Amino acid sequence: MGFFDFLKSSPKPDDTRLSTVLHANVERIRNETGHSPDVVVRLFDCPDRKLKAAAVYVDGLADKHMVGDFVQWSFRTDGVGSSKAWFQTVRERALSVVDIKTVSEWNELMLALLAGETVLLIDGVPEAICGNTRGGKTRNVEEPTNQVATRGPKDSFTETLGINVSLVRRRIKNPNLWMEVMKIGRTTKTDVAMMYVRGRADDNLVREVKSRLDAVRADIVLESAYIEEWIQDRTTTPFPMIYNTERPDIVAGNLLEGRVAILVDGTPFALIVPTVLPQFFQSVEDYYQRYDVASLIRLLRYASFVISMLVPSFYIALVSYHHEMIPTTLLLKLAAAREGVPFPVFVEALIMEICFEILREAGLRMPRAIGQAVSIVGPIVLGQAAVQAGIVSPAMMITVAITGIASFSTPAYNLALTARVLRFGLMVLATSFGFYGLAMGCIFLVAHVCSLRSFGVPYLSPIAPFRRSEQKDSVFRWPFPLFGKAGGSRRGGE
Amino acid sequence: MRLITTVCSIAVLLLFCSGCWDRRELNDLAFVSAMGIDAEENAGRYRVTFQVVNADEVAGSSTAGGGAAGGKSTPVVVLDSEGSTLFEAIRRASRKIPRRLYFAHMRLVVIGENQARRGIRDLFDFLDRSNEIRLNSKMIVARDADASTVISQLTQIERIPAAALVGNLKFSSKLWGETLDYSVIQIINFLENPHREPVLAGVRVLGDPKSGTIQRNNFETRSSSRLVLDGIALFKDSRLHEWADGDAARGIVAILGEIRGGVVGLECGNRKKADRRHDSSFLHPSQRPFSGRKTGRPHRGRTGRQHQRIALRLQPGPP
Repeated sequence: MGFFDFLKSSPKPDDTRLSTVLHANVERIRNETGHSPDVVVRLFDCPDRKLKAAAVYVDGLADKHMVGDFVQWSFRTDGVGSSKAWFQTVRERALSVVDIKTVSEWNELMLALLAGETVLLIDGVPEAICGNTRGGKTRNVEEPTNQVATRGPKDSFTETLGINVSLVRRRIKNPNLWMEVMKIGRTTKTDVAMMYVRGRADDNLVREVKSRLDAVRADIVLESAYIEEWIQDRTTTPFPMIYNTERPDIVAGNLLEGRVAILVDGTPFALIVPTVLPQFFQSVEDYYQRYDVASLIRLLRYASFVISMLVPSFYIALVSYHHEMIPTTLLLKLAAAREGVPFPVFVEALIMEICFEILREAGLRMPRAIGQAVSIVGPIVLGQAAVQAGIVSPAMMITVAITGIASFSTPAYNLALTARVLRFGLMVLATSFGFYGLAMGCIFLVAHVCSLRSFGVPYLSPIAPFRRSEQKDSVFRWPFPLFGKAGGSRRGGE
Repeated sequence: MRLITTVCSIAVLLLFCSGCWDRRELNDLAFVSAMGIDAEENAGRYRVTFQVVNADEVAGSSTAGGGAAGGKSTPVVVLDSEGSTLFEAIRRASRKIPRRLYFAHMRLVVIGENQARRGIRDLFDFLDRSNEIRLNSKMIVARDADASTVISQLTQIERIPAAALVGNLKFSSKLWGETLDYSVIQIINFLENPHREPVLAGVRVLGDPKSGTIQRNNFETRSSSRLVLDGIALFKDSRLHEWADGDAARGIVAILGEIRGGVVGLECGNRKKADRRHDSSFLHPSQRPFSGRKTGRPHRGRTGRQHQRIALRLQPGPP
C-alpha cells in the first residue's frame, strides 16, 4: 500500500529538483499549496538587468520585518553579469539574515517555506536561497498552569520548540548539553528535539531513545502524547510510562540526573525518559523547600495516592464484609447513617464516584464563564441534598470527598488518572470479595508495577530493585550537600 | 505450555470461587450488644436474651438520612428465645427480629443465677466456637435475678446498657477492687486449668426491675432502678457455689493478683483503725501484689481449710 502511495505521489526523478525557469518554479509552489493566499509570492525585476527574481514566504509564519530586510538587502547589488553570478552575490551579501542556506530539492524548499523561511528564486538558477525569517506570533513564556509551585522559577514551556530549547539551555550553560532534532510525522513534519547531557546520560540510553524516535511511523504529531505512545515500552498498563512536564526547571534537573528529554514543537509538554514511579511523586518544590518539610510532604503524596486509589474500596469492604473490624461506636454511626439508604453500599459508592467524575470533567471542559454554575450545583445538589434526602449516606460523601481531594494532591496528573481508573476495579473486587479481593488486587498491582520497565530501567527503581546509594532522593529528599557528586539520585539506563 | 496455561487459569478462577458469600449490608444486621443466658425450667434448655442496639436511636444524628430522630424509642431492644443449645436459641430468635443477629460487637455475656448454679461449662462450647463472638466480651453473673432482667434494664449516661456495665466493671475493678473484670477467654482458661475454678463478678438490680425497662425512667436523676456490681461469684466444678462480698471479695481479687486499687483502712498514729472514708492508702496500679502471693505457701490448717498468707504492698495512689 505504502509502496504504491510512494509511486503515485512522488514526481518523476527530474521533478524533485528545482527548475531553471523562474515561472515554472513559482507556478509549482502555487499549485502545490493550492493557491492558498497566505503563501505570498512577490515577483520583481533586477533594476538594470532583464533578470527576474521572486521572494516567497508564508504570511504569519515569517516575521514580516525580517522578510523585508532580507529581500531588500539581498538585491541591493550592481554590475553583475549572469544570473548565476547574481545568485552568488546575493547569497554572499544576504547578511541581514544570519541563517541562510541554498536548496535545490523541492522537498527541502517546501519544508523551509512552511517552516517560515523566506525563499529567494532567481530566473535561470535551479537553486533557491532560504533565509531563516521564522517568526510571527507565538505565545509568550508564561507561568506554568499545571505544575504550580509557590517557590521556584515561574516560566513554563510554550508551543515553540526554539523557545523551549532556549529555556532549558539557559539553565544548563554547558557545552555538554547536546541536542538532536528530527522531523517526525509524515504529514505534519513536526520538529522533535532530543536533549541530553553528554557524560551524564548513558550512551546506550541515548542510542535507544534515538532509535525509538527513528522508529516512530506516526503520520500526525500534534502533541508529545502522539510520540509518547509510540516510544513507551508497553501500552497495556494503566500506569503512565513517560513523565511529562511543562516546567523547564524540571527538564533541566532531569537532564542533569542523566535522563533524556524529548521536546516536541507545538506543545509545551516535554517528555522525560526513562521514567520511574517515584518520579511522579516528586514535585519541583521538593527541591526549593527545606529538605525535612519536603520529605514529609513527599510521604504525604505517596499516602494520598494510596488513599485516592483505595479508600472507596476499603470502605465498601469494611461495610459489607468486615463489620467486626470497625470500632463499635463508629459502626453504629455508620449503620445509623445507612439506615434508609435505598442502595447497597457498592451501588451507592458507584453513584457518588461517577457523579464526582462527571463534576470533575464538567469543571474541566466547560467554558470558564459558566464555571460557577457547576461549583454551586455540584456541592449543594449532589452533596447536601442527596444526603438530606437519604439517598446516600454522609459516610459515603466523606469517602468520596477524601478520595477526590487526595487525587488532586498527586502532583502528576497522569498518575492521578491511573488511580482514578484503578479505583473502580478495586471497588468491584472489594464488593465481591472484601479485603481478600482488595489484597488480591493490590498484590496484582504491585506485581504488575514491578514488571514494568521504562527504557530498560525498572519502573519501581530505586525502591525495587533497592539501590541504597540512590535512596537520597526517592522517598525522602536528603539535604543537597549529602547528595554526592552526581547531583541527582538516579542515573538513567545503568 | 498448554498445560501451564490451563493450570494457571484454573488457579486464577479458583481465587474468584468464594464469590460474595458472606457479604452483608449494614442495614441487614442487628447488632447485639449483650446476651443473657438463663436456665429454662425444664432441664437442659436455655433461655437466651438479646440486647439489640437500635443504631438509629443511639447514633443517628439530626442530619443523618432517614429514620426517627433520637429520643423516640429505646436505645436497645430486648428479645428472648429458647432452645436446647445456644445456637438453636439464636437461630430461633430470627422469628422475632427482621434482621440477622450479629454478635461481633457483643461486649457482655450475662449469666443468670439459676444457670450459673446449674453449670456454665457447656456454654463455652458455643461462645468459643462461634466465629462472631469475641473472646474478649466481658462476663458477669446476675445475682438473685435472671439474666434477662439484667439485660432489659436501661441505663443512664451510657445509652447502651451493655456498655454501661462494661464501664462499671472496668472502673470498679480498677478503683475499688471488689469486682473482677473477666472476659470469656479468661473464664475458658480457668475452666481448662485443673487447678482453678472460675470466678466472676456479680451484678444486682436495685429497685424496681420492671420500671428499669421503661425509657421514661431515665428522665429522673435518681433512676428508680439501677444495676449495681455486687460481690463475686465463686464456682466449684463450674457451678456457682457461693457469693463472696466485701472484704472477702477483695481478698479473692487479691489472691488472683488482679487487684489494681482500692481503699483500705489502716491504723494511723493514735487513731484506731481509721474510717475507710477518711483513710486514703491506695493500692497503686503498678504495684500488683504478686510478691504477696509468693510469701506464703498454701497450707492446710487445723480446721482442714486451706490457708494462704498474702502480703499486700500498699502504696499511696492518686485519690
